[in-house]
Amino acid sequence: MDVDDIVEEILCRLPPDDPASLARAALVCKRWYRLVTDPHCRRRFRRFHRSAPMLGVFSDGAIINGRFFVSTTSFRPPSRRDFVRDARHGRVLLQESWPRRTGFVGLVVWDPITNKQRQLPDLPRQWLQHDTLNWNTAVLCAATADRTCDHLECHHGHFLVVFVASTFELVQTCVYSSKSGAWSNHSSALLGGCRGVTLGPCALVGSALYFDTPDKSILKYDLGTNKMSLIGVPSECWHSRKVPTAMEDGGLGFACLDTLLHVNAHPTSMVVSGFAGSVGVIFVHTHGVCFMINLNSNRVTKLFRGVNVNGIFPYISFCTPGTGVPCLSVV
Amino acid sequence: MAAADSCDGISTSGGGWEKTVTLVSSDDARFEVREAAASLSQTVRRMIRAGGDGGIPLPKVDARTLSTVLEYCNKHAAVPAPAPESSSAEAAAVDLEWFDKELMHVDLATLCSLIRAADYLEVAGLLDLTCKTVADMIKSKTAEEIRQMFGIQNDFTPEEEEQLSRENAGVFE
Repeated sequence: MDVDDIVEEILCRLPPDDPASLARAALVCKRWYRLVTDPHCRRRFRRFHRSAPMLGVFSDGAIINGRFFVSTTSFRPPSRRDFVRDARHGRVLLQESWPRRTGFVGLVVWDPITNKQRQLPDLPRQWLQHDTLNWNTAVLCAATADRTCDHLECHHGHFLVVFVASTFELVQTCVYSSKSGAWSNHSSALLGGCRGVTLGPCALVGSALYFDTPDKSILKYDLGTNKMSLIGVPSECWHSRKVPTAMEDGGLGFACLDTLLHVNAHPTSMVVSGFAGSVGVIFVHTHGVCFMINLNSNRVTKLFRGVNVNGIFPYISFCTPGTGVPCLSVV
Repeated sequence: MAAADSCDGISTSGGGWEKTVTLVSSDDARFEVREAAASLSQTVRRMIRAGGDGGIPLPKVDARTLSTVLEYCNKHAAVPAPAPESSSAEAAAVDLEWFDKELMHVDLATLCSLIRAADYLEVAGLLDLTCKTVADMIKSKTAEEIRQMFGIQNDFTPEEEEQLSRENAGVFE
């Protein structure tokens, strides 16, 4: 083992949930910089730690004091004024706060680490008619459907955006592919009893996406078959907000709360607003304050105070120098 | 399997016989070790299988480093394998963790020697422990503090350093 190998062995063991530590190590000297930013070393770092850390959370509401992202680590992405609609596989799906065309939903897929973005073309017009009740959308790595990616380093690969909109019992979906640069795979289904989809976090389990609805069911969209169906939820979730979640065992779960907390003798209801099964945390909000509860330690952390918060989207990704920090050509 | 001439047998405190091997450091110090402990090193395990006279030579490890490596191997090989989830398994894990922590109370030069030895001897657990210890030492340090720690010369030009620091400032706190 030469000196470079020893340094690499050590750097691999720096904590992924403190990405600044690896960035500082890259500044030690040119040799260390080359090692840290070398694609092989970055890959080794990701493989060594196996699961990506949660770098912080995005909220779809307005966070008081103007922050766009609440960091749980040393990571600080650039600020934006758009609405966050989903975050997955290192990418964030945004709805433009000032769309290019009035009445249209303008979507942007953004990588907060590289600060690169792709503006998506307009959605097919018929979905944006005035009687469209509601919609939801999701971003995911393009290799999800055929399950050929472990999503540890697919930041720069192709992605899909699934958009689902409902008009009473008629539910329609279409899929944007970054590879073709266009919306396709239109499908529609009449789902009796479906009052639409609820804007907020959705779950990806296998090759299917699960969207919350205002009813006692969730909407399943299978990317492989391009089919939609309704699935009933357990009775425990009937009377509170539910967030579909991917469980650690690869199954589908629901995060919901029915607890009434008594604060200063006033009953206060808590609503679940997000879940990150891979890191074992649940997000809840009450009276404009959002909390993170660690399910392993039961530790509660106050995240932020905000308004109109419906969904909290954990940002789970490796952040290694050389991906976000542009390399110096002279080094 | 070829009987290794470097293997002897000694009686253990329990009255049973346990096979031992003799390891010879680069400065000719001889260590008699239980085979089970020495076999935590994949390098030594292969040499035992190959057989040989007069002890197993380890020309890349000095006596001081080898003694620490063997302390690690003796402790880790001695831990029985109780049923997982049992209270004794938990106690053994806590004891081992405490032992590892104490063993790593050494200076940086010694840690680096241990990393090289763990790599040469292929003791995976010790390699992980030593590298993790150094990583923990540097994780909160600034680039300048890390340079001082390892005696590294800063070979960035001031312009390069400023550019990198500026880019980092945009991503990290």
